[in-house]
Amino acid sequence: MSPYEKPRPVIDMASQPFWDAAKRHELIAQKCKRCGHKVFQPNTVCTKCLSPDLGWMKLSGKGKVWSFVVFHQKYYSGFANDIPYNVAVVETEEGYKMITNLMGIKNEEIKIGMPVEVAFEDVADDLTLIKFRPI
Amino acid sequence: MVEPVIGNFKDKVAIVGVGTTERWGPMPELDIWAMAAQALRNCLDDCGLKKEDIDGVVVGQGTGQPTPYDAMVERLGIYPRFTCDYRPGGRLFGPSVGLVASLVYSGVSNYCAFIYTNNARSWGRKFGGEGDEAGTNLMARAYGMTSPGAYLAMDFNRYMHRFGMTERKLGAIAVAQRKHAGLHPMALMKDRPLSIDDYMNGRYVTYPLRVYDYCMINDGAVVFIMTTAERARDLKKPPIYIIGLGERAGYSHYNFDTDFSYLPYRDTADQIYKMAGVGTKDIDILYYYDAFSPFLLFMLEGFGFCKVGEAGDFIQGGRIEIGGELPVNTSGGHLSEVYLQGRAILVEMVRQLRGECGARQVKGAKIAQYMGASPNASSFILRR
Repeated sequence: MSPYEKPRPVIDMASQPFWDAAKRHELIAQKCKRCGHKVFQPNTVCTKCLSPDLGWMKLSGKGKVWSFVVFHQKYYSGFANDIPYNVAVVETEEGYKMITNLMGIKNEEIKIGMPVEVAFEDVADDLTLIKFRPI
Repeated sequence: MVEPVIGNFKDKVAIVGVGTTERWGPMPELDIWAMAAQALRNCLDDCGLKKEDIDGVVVGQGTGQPTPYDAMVERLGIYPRFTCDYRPGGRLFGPSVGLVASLVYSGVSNYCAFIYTNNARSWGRKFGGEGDEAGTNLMARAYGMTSPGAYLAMDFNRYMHRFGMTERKLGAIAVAQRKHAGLHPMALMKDRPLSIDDYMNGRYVTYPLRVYDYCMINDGAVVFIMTTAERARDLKKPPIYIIGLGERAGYSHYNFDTDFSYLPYRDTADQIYKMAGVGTKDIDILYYYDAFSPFLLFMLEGFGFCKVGEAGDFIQGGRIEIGGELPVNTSGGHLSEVYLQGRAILVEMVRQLRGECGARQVKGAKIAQYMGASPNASSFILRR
């Protein structure tokens, strides 16, 4: 694969399992084993009860577009050739909101509320991004 | 109902002096400390105090070169009993007004100066992208999601979907504020009129927001001084009293789960209106932290100026313009006067309440409210 020029996610202790799962083409998210609270931004403690015992659960990969934007201005040189590119928030069936890109659709055709499903994109040997495409 | 947290010291503390640099924008002839000194001199002239009277200094860090409190008091030769930094930047401006007022009310400081100097433009601040990832979630950057404005664009697109709002209706905000800037000699956009058609022809930065929905990035300095109501009466200008203060920190911004931040805005509104003993109908002039124009919609609804989903219609027909029912950001605000993270807005509020605003003066304005943007919602109400 050619060198990956786009910004990489900053992976830390909390988010390592999420990105490892992505490499296996699995979408997972945290759910507190103590109180059941759903935590999407990977964390080392539950944001509701402060328990460190956060478990991971596999998500169905299905959801709906909650909102989206289209970048017309260049912020990252790695994205320069993609402008105008979309960024969407997808609300999964399980109620997690994920920042992602929508694939396989023109920006003008994106509609809030449209059903989408997960699409794993292996962008580098050591990185898989979790994107979505219309069902 | 949320109780006022800062205690009821309505009418007990007043803003007695305001000062700014002589103009806004890059000032190559001044360094950041000389900018602060110019604003301080103008503030002291405004209220008739001497530098030696100042016994409290709160430094608001800008978005450019760091200006720590110790360097600030050293460079300006102030010898205060109390000094500290209050950072970072804009979201904590409203709360910093509460801090300064609390220092005065508690007796920690008799004359407390808030000093803010910012060279963000000359410093090359960009707010998003490589090397400047303010407002960027470190997972989301992998998808090209960056900059505070993009988060507001995401919220606004959802808002349009939910309430049938349109981009053209949003344009009323940028157009109104640009009109106000045209009446303000210091406003950076004073000679650049903007019609709704100009707005619609403007380029998208991040769809659905256009360049006119974004604040500018500028240089400038602002100083204001507060003291007790008793001491205030002996000074040069009519005191501007603080009658309401409140805040609520709703830091779940990156999760899009606070419903346009209505919750922290409502909690803040409960505190300030109860403390001030006034309601939205009593507000003569309204100010908000306009980093991006859609904030106004969410705040008007969250603070209760109109019902949820109705702000898009509420702002039409000149209502928020000078001469309208509820003039908003009468200086042009961050969109069209200058972006100094709320500080220049406070100066405008004080000058309006004193009746010093010339062509853009809102006649008879007695009560002014500031609304600080989420995630750290905040607000204060001033009266003359």
